[in-house]
Amino acid sequence: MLLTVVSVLLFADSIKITVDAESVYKVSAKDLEPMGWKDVPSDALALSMGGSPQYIYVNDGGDGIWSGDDWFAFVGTRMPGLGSTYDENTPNNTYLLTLDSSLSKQCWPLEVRPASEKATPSMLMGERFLEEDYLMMRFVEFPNESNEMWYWKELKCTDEKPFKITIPLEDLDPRGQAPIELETSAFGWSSQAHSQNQTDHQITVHINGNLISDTRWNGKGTHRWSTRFRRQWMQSTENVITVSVPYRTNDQDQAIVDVSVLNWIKLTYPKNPVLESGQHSWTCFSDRAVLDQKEDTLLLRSDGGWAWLNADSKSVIRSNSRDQKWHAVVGDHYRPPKALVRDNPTHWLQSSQAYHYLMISAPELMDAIQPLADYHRKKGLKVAVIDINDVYDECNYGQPHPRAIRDFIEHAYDQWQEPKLEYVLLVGDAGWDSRVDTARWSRYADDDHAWATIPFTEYNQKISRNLIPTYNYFPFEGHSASDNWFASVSGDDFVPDVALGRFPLVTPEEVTAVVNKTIRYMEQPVDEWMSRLLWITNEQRSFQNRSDKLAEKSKDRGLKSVKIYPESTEVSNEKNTQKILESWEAGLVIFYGHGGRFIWRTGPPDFRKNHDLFTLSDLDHLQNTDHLPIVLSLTCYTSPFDHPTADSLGEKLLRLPNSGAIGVIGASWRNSPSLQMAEEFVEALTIPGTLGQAFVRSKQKLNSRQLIETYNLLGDPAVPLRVMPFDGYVFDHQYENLTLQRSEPSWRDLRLFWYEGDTLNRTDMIKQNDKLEIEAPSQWDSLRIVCTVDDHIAVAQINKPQE
Amino acid sequence: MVLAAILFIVFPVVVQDEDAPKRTIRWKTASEVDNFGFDVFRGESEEGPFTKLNAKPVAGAGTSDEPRSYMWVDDTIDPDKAYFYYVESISLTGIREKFTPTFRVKPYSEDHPKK
Repeated sequence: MLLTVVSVLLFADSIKITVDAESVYKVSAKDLEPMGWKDVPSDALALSMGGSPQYIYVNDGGDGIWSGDDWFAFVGTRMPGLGSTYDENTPNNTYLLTLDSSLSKQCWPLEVRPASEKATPSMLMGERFLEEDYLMMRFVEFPNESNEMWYWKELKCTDEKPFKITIPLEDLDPRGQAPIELETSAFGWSSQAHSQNQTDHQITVHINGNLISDTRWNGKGTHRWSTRFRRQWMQSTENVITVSVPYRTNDQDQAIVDVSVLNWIKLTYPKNPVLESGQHSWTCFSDRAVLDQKEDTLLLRSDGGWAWLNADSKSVIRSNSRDQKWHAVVGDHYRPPKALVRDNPTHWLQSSQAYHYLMISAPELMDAIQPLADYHRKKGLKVAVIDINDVYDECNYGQPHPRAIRDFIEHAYDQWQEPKLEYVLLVGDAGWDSRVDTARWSRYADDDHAWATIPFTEYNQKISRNLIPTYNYFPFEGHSASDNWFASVSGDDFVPDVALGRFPLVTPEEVTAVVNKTIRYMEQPVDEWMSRLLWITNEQRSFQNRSDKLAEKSKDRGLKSVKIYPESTEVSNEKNTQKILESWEAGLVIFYGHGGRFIWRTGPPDFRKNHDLFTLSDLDHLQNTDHLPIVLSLTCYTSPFDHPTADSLGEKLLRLPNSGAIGVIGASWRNSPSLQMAEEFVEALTIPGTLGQAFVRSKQKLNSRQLIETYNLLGDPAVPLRVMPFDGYVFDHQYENLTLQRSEPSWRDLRLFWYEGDTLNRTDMIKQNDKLEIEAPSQWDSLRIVCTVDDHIAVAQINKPQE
Repeated sequence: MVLAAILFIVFPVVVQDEDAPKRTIRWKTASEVDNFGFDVFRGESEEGPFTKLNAKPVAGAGTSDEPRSYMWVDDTIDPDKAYFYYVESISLTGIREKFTPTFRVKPYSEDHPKK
């Protein structure tokens, strides 16, 4: 037996136990046998949560070995939030089970005495916590992680009906004399600056028609209040709680603007000490608990005490503190864990690690991303593909959280060996509703639940999208997906230090498609379209002027521009939309103008035009199979990739398997992209380097934190840029003969495109070893020279001087 | 300049009612930010005085990027009088702004001559 145990201790890894509610959970030895756990010493069973040991009650039949039908029980809770009841990044909590007697924290037996039939019932206080998260609100005045993000219901003074909640209280003590306490939390949203001798906010609560509270307060922010009322006002069957904001007017008979959002309601009530079949929890307000249980019962107390109580008997247990929480499982009504997963240990935090490129992937996408990792390895990069769960295990005790990702990258950047970490790719979409099983539009953004609405186009797939979370940055008016937070890991500034991109995808098929098109792009021979810039604006002259200025600068460097500028006099955008579709085959597409959510707009929506300039549905008509541009979208909302159910332009452009874009730089929130920002990005994207290097280089020159935080890169950051100018040529004085200089030995695939006017009248292909003197055609006006230098494309445009 | 369309755009429209002497004022927003609601005012001359018609504000959409449509039915008109209307917006901070220009609506009887 000893040998068996030792072998288990040597080879057994920890087990991750996922729970999703406050409850007493039961794990049997048989559950863990398939994971290699068998015949383990009971006193070595150690449960922890967030690094803190947790009490467990072990039932091993008394032989000291946990095996066969043995089991253990523990009280599991949901992950608490920093400022909210529950952590908003996950609906679950993760407990780690290990074999380590030094960390084991086992329950101890309580003294139980039989109670006489005449024993006075104890005053047990039950608790009912009511909270639904339907309304996601970011209040920019309170921009830190500890503030609540999810609320239940907006309450306006103009609501036609009050908000009603119907609940039963089955275990309400019919004989209890203690009052019921109602505690409520709401957030005062409006701030009526001109109210006269009236408070900013007022909320009334009725229960079964009785006014329970009428609270008033001033200012914008969270307000909590509690009130007590007679037990008789509630019943064990149905109770109706009504919450409303009264309509008030000022001296001028104008409405006092009063809007709040309800967060939660907590009821504390006298609980029936007769324990029926099921699970119960309570606090005890007397120095002993007298219980009457109908079936065999396991009692667990928050101080680690446990007791077995026999069916149909009264028992007395001493109570030391009102702070102790009691849990009872009457009958075999344990809750099974949501998941039991063997945790295979990894060692990514070891400082001996050394990689250029980290691909942090959702586990189901790991296989699909491997070909891209292999491709970069062949090109000389050291690439690690890491399961996101290993990041959570090593940095956050197995608990999913964006902070774990940042801590991991920061550690890799600071502690790993040379080569210095340069690239990170997050393989998986993000979603700001962590309740992946229930994420659906109607929960948080329809007119019934949310006052703040966001138009949307739903993804085709109805599956979980929060595979790799992002960070919520707080710009004005709301929240914004910001992967930048993961990349700014050195110093106290907010500029990125590593080049981080994301594949906001959810299925292996999608990843394979994007990997394939990314590799195809990197393998493509030089071609003329790669050095073409497509400029698109809305109808405002200011954006057209800015684009003209940038296009002129790029022309000086040999890049060719195509412009699509809608005019305010046009009654329809159809012609411009068609032009965009036809001109999409470019190295770089730059949109500069107004963008609504998931669209490029002609201008402020004015109902004159019946559709927008470029929308999600327009992308279905793109046919640029192997001519994939990088898209720089200087507008609002191109890539709000954290929406749990709605698609976006940026995501779809990358996701399209045989068209769209190779990479998208776009914002996840409203913003005002400056001309300087546009210049920095265009400049960086048209010089040698990679997409990620250009992204970082541009941001490092910006001062606006909002722009830095809200612009994200969708795509592989290690993709080499293929658009840049070329200057190694000499013409004779009559422009009849061209000599190309081979100052760069790595030049290859040189092509010459001779134009007469806009007509291409000859193409020359020059191989690596060909002579570099070329006779010009008899008629030509301009020449475009395109060649490959390392992984970059060099381009020149030469205009023949007019005689 | 923020490059999202966050401006209010309004096209007040007066709808005739064939059966009863009333006017329906309709207006739209392209998008809204912290918009609590609207009050509708009516006067008998362009210079006023104006009277608020609605007891409670017409509820706005709060913050929305969706186009929204609103209406107010004025069934208290004298069919022989011309009226002037305007709509006032109310923000979540209680700030009131004249949202539409003042516009004239001809007497109801001009559109519905007595038979």
